[in-house]
Amino acid sequence: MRSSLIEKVVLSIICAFVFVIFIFPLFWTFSMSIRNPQEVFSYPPRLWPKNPTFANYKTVVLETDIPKYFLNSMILVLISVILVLIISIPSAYGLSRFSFRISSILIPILLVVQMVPGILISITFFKYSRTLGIYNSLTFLSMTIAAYRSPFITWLLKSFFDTIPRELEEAAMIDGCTRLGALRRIFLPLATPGIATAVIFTSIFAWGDFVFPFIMIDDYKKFPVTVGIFAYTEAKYQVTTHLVATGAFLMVIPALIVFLLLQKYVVEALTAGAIKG
Amino acid sequence: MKRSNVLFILPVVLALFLFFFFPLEEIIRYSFTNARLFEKGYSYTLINYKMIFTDPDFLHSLKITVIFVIFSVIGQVGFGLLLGLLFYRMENIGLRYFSLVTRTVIVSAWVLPGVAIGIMWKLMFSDFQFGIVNYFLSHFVFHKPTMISFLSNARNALIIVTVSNIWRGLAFSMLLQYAALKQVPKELYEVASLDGANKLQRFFFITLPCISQQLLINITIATISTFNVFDAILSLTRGGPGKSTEVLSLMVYRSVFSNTDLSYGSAVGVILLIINLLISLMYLRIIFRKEVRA
Repeated sequence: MRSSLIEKVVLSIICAFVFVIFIFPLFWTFSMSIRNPQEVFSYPPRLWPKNPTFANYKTVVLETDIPKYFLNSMILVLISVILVLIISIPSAYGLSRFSFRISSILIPILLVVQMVPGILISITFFKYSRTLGIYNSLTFLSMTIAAYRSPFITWLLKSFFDTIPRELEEAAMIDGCTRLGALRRIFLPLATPGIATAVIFTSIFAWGDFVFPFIMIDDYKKFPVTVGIFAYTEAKYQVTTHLVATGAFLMVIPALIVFLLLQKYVVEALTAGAIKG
Repeated sequence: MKRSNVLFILPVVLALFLFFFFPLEEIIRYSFTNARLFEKGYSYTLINYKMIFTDPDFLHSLKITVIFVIFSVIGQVGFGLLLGLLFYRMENIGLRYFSLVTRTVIVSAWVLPGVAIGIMWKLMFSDFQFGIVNYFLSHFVFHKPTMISFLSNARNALIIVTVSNIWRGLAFSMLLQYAALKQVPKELYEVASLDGANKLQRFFFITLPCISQQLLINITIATISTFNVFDAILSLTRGGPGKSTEVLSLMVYRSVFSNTDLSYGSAVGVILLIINLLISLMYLRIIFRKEVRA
């Protein structure tokens, strides 16, 4: 049993090392966010500040536009999620239940378009946006984000819907339900876990999305958190390191909370494209 | 089948046409013109494609991108496999809880916005007083005050950008490899042990062949997502110092928006698109071959 104990110790040490590597950037950002500007620039740097203070959080909330950016991001997430569901649920249902002539081309396309760089799509919309009145529009931005994620979500939901037996809906339809009635009463309740995965996946991406708002929004009142806090890092004439750290930490909190509460779905969303064929 | 059933798939087909095919068609068209971002008129020409393969900026960006992608993918897939093996082994020898906690921390890196990751890494590797990595190195490695210019030296910046990208993408590879390892039938190992195979032989002749499918999928997906990284590099180095970390996606951005050269930036984008398309076709072949076999 000696070798087994040695193995346990060695593997635990490696694991602890990995743990530190992954937690440290987050820890350091938090540690920076609870320092006053003097302590940020004091040398040697301390792992934990001598006088921890939440003053930066107060400054960020009361004196900067960051709360507005949070609100914008939440609006963005909400609209994107609703739009993704409107696009993807019917499409995935159709692909799962009926065989169209184009299905065999459409399904691979849903997977392939994930590789299209967002920057290319946003260039076209930038070019047309002023004449169409969609530049600086959070609604159009949400539509772009939703449309960009919808092919993959459609594919994700389709492979989930395939596991729900169609006999259930057919039985309901024989008993006098219309197809939409069967969809609403029988199918959707069973599909909830798949839809939850889709919602979480879309929320995480809409929250963290950068390239679309970066190109399609220049009115700072409409910035989402990602672009807003990035803009703070660009400030050249004032020291903002402590505020940037605070903003960055605030920006990751919602994503972390969603992840910790709903881990199962996140892991499912993350590996779905690879494990199921 | 009723005709009206087509209405079900209409939304995603519309999304594809309006938000993918139309914008891409425009980019491809612009790449064959001399269009500028803020000017209306343009004429069709092949000049962008004649210029691009002799443009030192483009060739440099392509080289940087390829280096960035190759090392990112090796790092993500390699460490992903090592971590998968680590967690698999830990579960087997009664360290389940510790393995679970560490896996959770790794996956949490994946949900963070790319911009936040760039900012966090910049805080750690800064040349300023708060650059904790420099402090650690001077204190525990070199035992004398050292200031390594991690982000203001061309070669170091590329290394840090690559390492941070490995850090970010490791969650995906680790989960994939871990899931693949758990699916390898245990009986195979038992039989091999009876036949006298040692650990290394078991790994190379049982584990690797069993997970090769997932490894290939992992490599293709990691390659595509690394080619498209934009936010994390922009917030970490802005493509600098100079143009030393200006990957293709950032070059597209700079050409179109800083130089307002819409047509040339589009041409760079088209090349990025072609690269991605080729890798995606490989990905599809692997995925659908798997479906046929299963």
